[in-house]
Amino acid sequence: MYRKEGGAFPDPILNLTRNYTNPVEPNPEELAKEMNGRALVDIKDSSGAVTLRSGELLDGFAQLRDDGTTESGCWIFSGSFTEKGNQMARRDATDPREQGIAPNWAWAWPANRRILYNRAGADLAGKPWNPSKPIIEWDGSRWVGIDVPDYGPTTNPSEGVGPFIMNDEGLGRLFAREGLVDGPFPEHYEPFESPIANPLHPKVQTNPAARVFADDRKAFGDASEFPYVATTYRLTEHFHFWTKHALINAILQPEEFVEIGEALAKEKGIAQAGWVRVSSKRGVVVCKANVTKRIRPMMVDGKPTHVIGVPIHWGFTGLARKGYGANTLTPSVGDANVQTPEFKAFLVNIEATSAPVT
Amino acid sequence: MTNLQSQDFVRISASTLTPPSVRDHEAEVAKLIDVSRCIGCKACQAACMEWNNVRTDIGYFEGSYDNPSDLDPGTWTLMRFTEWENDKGDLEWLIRKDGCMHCEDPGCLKACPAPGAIVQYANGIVDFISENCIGCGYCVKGCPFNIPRISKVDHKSYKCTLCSDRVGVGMEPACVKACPTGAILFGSKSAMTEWAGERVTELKSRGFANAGLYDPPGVGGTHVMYVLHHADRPSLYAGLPDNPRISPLVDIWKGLLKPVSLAGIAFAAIAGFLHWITEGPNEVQPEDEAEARRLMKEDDAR
Repeated sequence: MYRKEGGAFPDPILNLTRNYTNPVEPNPEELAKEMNGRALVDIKDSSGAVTLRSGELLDGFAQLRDDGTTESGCWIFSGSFTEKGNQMARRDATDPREQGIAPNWAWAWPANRRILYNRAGADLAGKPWNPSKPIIEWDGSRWVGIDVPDYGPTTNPSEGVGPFIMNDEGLGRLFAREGLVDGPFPEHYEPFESPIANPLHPKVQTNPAARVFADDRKAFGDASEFPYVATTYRLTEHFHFWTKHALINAILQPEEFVEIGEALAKEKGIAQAGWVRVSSKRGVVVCKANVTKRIRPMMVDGKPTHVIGVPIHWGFTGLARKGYGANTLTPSVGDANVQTPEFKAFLVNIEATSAPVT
Repeated sequence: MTNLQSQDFVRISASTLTPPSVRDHEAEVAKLIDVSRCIGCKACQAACMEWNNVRTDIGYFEGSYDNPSDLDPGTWTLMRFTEWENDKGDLEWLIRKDGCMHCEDPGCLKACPAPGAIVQYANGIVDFISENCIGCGYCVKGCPFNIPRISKVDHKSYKCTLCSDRVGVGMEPACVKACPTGAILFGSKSAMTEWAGERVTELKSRGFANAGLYDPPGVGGTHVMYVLHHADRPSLYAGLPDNPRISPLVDIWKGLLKPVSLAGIAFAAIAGFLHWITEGPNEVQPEDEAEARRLMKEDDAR
């Protein structure tokens, strides 16, 4: 299509390199080598000696050039598949100091480094904080140790370069100086649906920088109608909404339920494994109740606040028994920075009901 | 379900033959289930179904995380969840992996009337040899832990094999391999007992004064053992027997009733023989013939 009709900038599509054995179905090894990267011409060092011949795989991202003479799928993978072979396939579990670092087991990005910012494991002078568990240390001329230094290999500690080399100031951060739209200091806001006023500052109840659309805002309920706090979560037997289609997972957790405490169950006349109707301003879930000692009312603002747990894994299809989608209950709120949905705290009502007609 | 051979048998159900002794030197194995490290993820259950290639029906939510709700012919191991409030009022979620305990003195094997349907290997594993099983259910009565389940489809009894097919080629059982927290371990019984001792010491140091190893002597010890935080009260853990013993019915059946019934059979045979010797066979006498003719005449006249 691009060849025939052109377009604004068809070159990346038309000139895509697909020199695989089978261009339609590249094998994993070819792709892994491509991710690692290779030299496209003979690469020479400053003295003019050839360090890497044309076509050879790169040893690491330090060999990458910004002049088009090298290629790599992504710099962090450079070093994973070198002329010495597939580094990711290494299986030497030797852990020299028995501290969970086996440098020759597979490969870790970047540069086979096992602990990021490992300079922080040594004091200002470069001596390990814990001499019995050194990661890297300064030997007077360079950094040595069982891990690959995440630091200039010959940067003298006296130069005062901070260990967190990816941060401008070189230090770890307790709060973010930049980047957060609701920063820099952490602040407490109530969820958009909450049974209480914000106890820290009642005038600003919720995060003003959160992403909420006007129509979704209309669909928020309040505690007079929906007096209980609900939270959604996963169970160990399932992965999201996928494994309801897998027989063994379906056997291990076959049917939808919500979890409520004994006090609420007594108050609402809900029996163990009895049917309940859980409703929010947005939707309804009808399922069984798991009455458990694990959930107890929390004392919030002097009042007992009941919490209802809503495992998410069932739906209208699958090998497991059919259920209601948990997200018919949840509100549409995106957090201020990465728009993660606010599915962990919202308001519902619950009442005992009879089994649905099937 | 086994890579072990008849030469590994040290006990055979309903057999008077002497089992082979060539493998007697073998170290006895054990699976150690450290309840204090279990997170209830059911990876062991999934691995058991995968390896042994058994599947049960998709059930229902029945009021706890226990799923399936009980052991069955396709469920050889099962997490049993108990919410228990301790004496301080704190909640403890006790999660026990239930399944065959592989008793050193197996009640199922003792009770089994089918020759060779239940065997014990030199390494201690108790295994059901399904083709010899007649589905009578005596093993269920014989088991102090209520483990075997009879299939309604093929009328065979099923339970955990301790992955005898894996163990036979030097591998650990599937559940052990799958456990993500190291709560299930496998090795020689002595090594497992030793490790359990370390765990018990650790638990005691954390305030579980009654932590201990569950290796009940009432069944000669078991080849599946538990580390319990409350070893003084095993029944807290979804009814694990405090002091398991083989049902006295099995001893009556195999011990008392068997000789009595054999004696009964022998007595009947001897009595019959003596009667034949002393009284001779029961033959038709001339008086009997005459009486029969008279009755027939009467019948005709009517």
